[in-house]
This record gives sequence, structure tokens and C-alpha cells, in this order.
Amino acid sequence: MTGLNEKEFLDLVTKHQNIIHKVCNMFASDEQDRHDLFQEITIKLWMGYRTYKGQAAISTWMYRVALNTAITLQRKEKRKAETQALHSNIQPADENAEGYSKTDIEMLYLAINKLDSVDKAIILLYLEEKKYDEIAEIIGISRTHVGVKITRIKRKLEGILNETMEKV
Amino acid sequence: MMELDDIQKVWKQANQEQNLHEYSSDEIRSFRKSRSRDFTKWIRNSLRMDFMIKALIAVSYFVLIILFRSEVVTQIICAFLAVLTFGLIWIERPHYTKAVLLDQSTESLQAVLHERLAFLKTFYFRIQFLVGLTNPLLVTVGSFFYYYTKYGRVSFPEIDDILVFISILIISFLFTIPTTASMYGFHARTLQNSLASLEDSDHWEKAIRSYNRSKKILTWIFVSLMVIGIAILAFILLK
Repeated sequence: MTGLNEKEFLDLVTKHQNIIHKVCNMFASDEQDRHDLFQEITIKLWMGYRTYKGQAAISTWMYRVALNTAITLQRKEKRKAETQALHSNIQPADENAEGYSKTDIEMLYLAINKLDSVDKAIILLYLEEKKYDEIAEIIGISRTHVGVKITRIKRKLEGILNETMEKV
Repeated sequence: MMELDDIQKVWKQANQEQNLHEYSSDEIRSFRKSRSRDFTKWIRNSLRMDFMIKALIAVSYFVLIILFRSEVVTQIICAFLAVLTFGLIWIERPHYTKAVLLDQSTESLQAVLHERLAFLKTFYFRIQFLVGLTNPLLVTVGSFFYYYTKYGRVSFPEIDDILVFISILIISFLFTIPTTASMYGFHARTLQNSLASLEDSDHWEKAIRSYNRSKKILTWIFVSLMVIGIAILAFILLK
């Protein structure tokens, strides 16, 4: 790989780093874990950059590599502890103009944290308003599957949200 | 309480409110150069290390051939073991390439999970077997050097010595097995769980297809019955 290609790669990752940040926020439980995952995703992107020939959109390719890395990389499970800590911190908050309070956001994060890694990957893409076809391309399942999975994940989230509300 | 249909809006708002630490180009460069924690990297490193050790062992056998120039049997054994060691390096080489390809894969999540699981189920054990063979080879080469420095020749061992030596070779070969097995179990479980989670909607898709097929059949039956009914009604009325 030439120096010029490295520069292109660095520009690309710097420009689109919000994609990696979103994946890290979804899969890593604390700052150190997020930093480590970001680093690992960067390494994998660099390795895959040799074979990337623009056959998929940059964002699709980056999401694909980032999610593959987040799911296949073995990390210590810290999720449960964090979820419990977050749960105890939920306080009623003022609603904003849109009608979503800080509690709503925390509740959504809490519920998502309880999903398994594959469901997290799919719901992240859905929340990022990706089209079903793009989600299907990233995950490797059919468009119909994506629809079915999203419906089921939403149902799971609903169950978790209701359960959490009852506890609060 | 938010509605489930609003989660995209809640997510959007959450992302707007988040203060993300943007990494600079230099920071990203340092990440790029850092050491991967992926198990494929661990496999590649262990293979690289094994290539070096095996190459050293093979060279040592050639040295032994020169040292034991008056002992033809020992020379033949050393020559055989040297060729065997080089042969093992030759067999291991494509496994290394496979691990590299696995690391460079930018396929979909499902394909990557399948690829990694297949790698674990086939190549991983082969690699561990081939790497495990280094230990007995090392013990053997060490023993030859020991005999040479102490006695200047390889004395024909008694049956007890042979049994002890074989036991040491087997133990040295099995030495890494517990670590290998636990690592395999850990990685395979995670991959299998993710795949199961991803593919469990297969039966939903099949169910939807079957439902759509049944719906089509029922529609055809209903339309046919209606046409027949209308025809009978018309026949009775017009008769």
C-alpha cells in the first residue's frame, strides 16, 4: 500500500468517523472499550481497504466492516453492570419541543443494550434510517428477513421498555 | 412515554445531543498502526512464530547431521526429521494465507460469521495440530544436542528410555491442547450464537411465504366459487 493510498484512507475515515462512533457507542460499554473498538475497526478498515474497489457505497462498506468487527471481536462483558447503573440513574426530565425527554433517550439506550449483538446491528441501521435493501446488503440477509427482524426487534424493545417503565 | 414508531426520532435527537470526540487524522493513523486484538491476528502471530521455530529446528537437524557424521542411523533420522519439519512449514503456509484473507474480508455480516465459523471448525484445529507438533520436534532436537554434548554420540536407548521419551513427546504435543480447546469453545460459541440470532428469521420468512401462498390459493378458490355461484345463480334466474 502506498503513502498516497494511506492518505486517502485517513481522509476517508476522518471524514466518515461518525459511522464508527455510532457503532462503538452501540457495542461498547465504557470510554476505554469504545476507544479500543474504534481502534480495532480502523485496523480492519485498513485491511479491507486493499480489496475495496468502490463496489458498495462508502457508508455501506464502513458499516459492514465496523459491525462485523464489533460482533466478532471478543470483549469483556460489561454491559449488564452499565445497564443497571444507567437504570438507577433514570430521573423524570423535562420534555423538549419534540416531546422526547432525556428519560426517553436513556430508556431507548437501556432497551437497546439488552438486545443481542446481531439485533443491535440491525436496529442501529434502522435507527440510522437506512433502507431495507442497504440493511440487507450489510447484514447479508434478504429484504424480507430485514423486515421480519425489525418488526421482531421492535416488539422486543417494546417489551423491554414496558418492563423498565413498570420498574421505574 | 415515547411511541415505538418514534424511536428513529428519539435516536436522531440523542445523536444530536451527544458530544463525540472527533479523532484527528494523526490519531487515526496511530490506530491503523496499532496491534489488533482479533483472534485471527493471534493465529497469524502464532503461525509466524511457529514458522521461525520450525525453520530453526530444521536447520538444527542439518547441524546434527554434520555433528554425527560417523553415525549413519542418527544422520538418517535427523535428515528425515529435517525434511518432515520443512514439510510441516509447507503444509502450514496456506493456513496463514487463509487467516490473512479472513482478516481482509469485507463481506456481509452473515458471510463473515459463516467464514469465521468454517475457519474455526476446519483450519483452526489443523493449525493447532501442526503447531503442536513443534513441541515434540523441539524436544527431539534438544535431546540429540544433549546426547552430543554429553556423550558425543547417541547411545542406543533401553526400552524404559524409549517409553519415557515417547511419553515426553506425547505430553509436549498435548501441552497446548487445553488452551486451544477453551479458545475454540469461546469463539465458536459467540459466532454460533450470532448466526443463530441472524438466521432464526428463516422460519419467519418461510412462514410468510407459506402464508402468501395459502392466501393466493384461498383467493383463487374464493373467486372460483364466486364465479361458479354467480353462474349457478344466473342459470337459475335465467332459466
